[in-house]
Amino acid sequence: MEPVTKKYYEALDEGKILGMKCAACGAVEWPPVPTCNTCGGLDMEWTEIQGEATVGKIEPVPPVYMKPPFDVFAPYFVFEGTLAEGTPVQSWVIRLTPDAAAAAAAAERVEAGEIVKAKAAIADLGETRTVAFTLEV
Amino acid sequence: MAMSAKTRKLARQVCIVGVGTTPIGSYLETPGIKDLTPLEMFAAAAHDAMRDAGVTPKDVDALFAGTSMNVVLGHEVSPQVSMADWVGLRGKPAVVSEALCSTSFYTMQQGIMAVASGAYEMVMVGGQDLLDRYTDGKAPNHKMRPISEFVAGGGDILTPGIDPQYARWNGGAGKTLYDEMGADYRRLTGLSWDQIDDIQTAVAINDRHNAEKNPKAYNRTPFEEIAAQAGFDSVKAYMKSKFNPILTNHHRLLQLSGGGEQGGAIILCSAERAKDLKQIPIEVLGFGIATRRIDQPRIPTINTQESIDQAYEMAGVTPDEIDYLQLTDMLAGEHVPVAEMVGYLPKGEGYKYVLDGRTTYEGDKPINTNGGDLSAGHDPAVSGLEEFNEAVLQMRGQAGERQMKKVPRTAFVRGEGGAHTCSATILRTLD
Repeated sequence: MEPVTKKYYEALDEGKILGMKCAACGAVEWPPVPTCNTCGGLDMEWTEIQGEATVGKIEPVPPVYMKPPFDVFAPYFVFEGTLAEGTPVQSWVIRLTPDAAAAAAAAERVEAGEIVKAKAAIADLGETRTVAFTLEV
Repeated sequence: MAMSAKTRKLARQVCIVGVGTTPIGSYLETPGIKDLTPLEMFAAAAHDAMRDAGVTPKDVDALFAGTSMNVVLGHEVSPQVSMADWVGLRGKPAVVSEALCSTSFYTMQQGIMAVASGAYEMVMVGGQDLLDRYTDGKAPNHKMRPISEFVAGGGDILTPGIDPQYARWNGGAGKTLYDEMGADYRRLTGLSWDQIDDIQTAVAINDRHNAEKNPKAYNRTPFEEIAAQAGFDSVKAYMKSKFNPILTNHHRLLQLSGGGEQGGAIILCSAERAKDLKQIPIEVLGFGIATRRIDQPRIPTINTQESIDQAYEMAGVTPDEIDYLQLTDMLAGEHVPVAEMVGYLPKGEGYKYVLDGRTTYEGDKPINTNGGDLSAGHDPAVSGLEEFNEAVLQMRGQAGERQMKKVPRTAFVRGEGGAHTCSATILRTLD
């Protein structure tokens, strides 16, 4: 097996977001794991994630949890949604806006059933990079 | 005194139907595990085990995971969740257990009981661990680095202690444990320490001889080659030289395991299901386990003997039926005494078999055909899975160049972790 974690994070350093696609059923695991949790397939291939996501729910992160290194995002929300590749997305950072009123308005639009899109971006946390989404408005 | 557990026959037959292990070695250089995180080593082994059995994650009902040093060095709790997720078992029951180097013997017993109870038809037992790297949790696991980069002078500070109530503070626990079985054996046989040294060296030589035929073994350079490079004509002279210094009271460098990292996984299922699968099913007839605080007297011997007795009782097997013995030999001094306690070698005479080379894979009483902990290597929480893997390969006749002449039908697998937990398992090829 080739290193999965190392390859994923080194790709982030190069500006790419990688997932793994099941050779049997086509389901995409993101973040990448080497086995398909949809069909149980053991053969996975690397695939680049386009980064488009549909937002299903937005929740503000309480200030008590805004500790380093994630305080760089503060104030921030997390969201649940679905990648364009079909993969469920859970609890990833979504940067709305420092403007609390605008953020609340966006959350309400999602709550009302409006289709809201998010876009993945690579964020630098110092010791590592990670993916944080931004809301497309 | 303390009481040994009473064991009873399993409620239904359970078989090993798939095995998978990575090479043993260092993430810095060993082909097959280079640059892999401990989790990735497990995932690789789990894939191998499922392919070996001809099953997929959909067939597996639960994961019994093991890890030990990872709790401290890997800065991680609940690793079983990631382990399940990475091998296609997301959503299924997963638990982790820890018993130092006995970890995966214990998780095997949990998996066996889960199938024997009827609750699950098929389960995976899996292990991951780490030995000489560390993370402070501030970066993803692929950035783990040697412990010495975090703590000057090595890893002692980061090594978790056993029993912080008493044993860690009494100044003695564990410090002479390594030599205890050898000392007992010297009293039993009336041999000199010099002869015990020769026996322990013979154990190391036999293990290395076996490891030379095991492509997954960590240390498989022939001793003849190592001795010649140091300018010695004979291995025996090299073994007594300054190149092989005495490190404990009575163990030399090459009489102690050099460690290593490895991933491992085993697939267990009911005998009924096993008959439909592609490999020869290996039934688990019985097991035993004994646990004592590390500052209790004579724990390596007492725990070993009790776990052996429990396994024979559950299995309804006698020592003369054992065709192959796989045992933990993190130190060479435990090798012969354990083989005698199992009844695989005659009491007080076992050392002669070792000195005569009869315990190599070509011999009539093979032990540790993979090279044992001394040469194959030893990952704390995965070493048990390596031991089961080797016994199963021998019993299937799939051990390649190190295959025993006569394929064993009944095998005994003995485990030991920190001496505080010792275990025994008896396997037999399903009729």
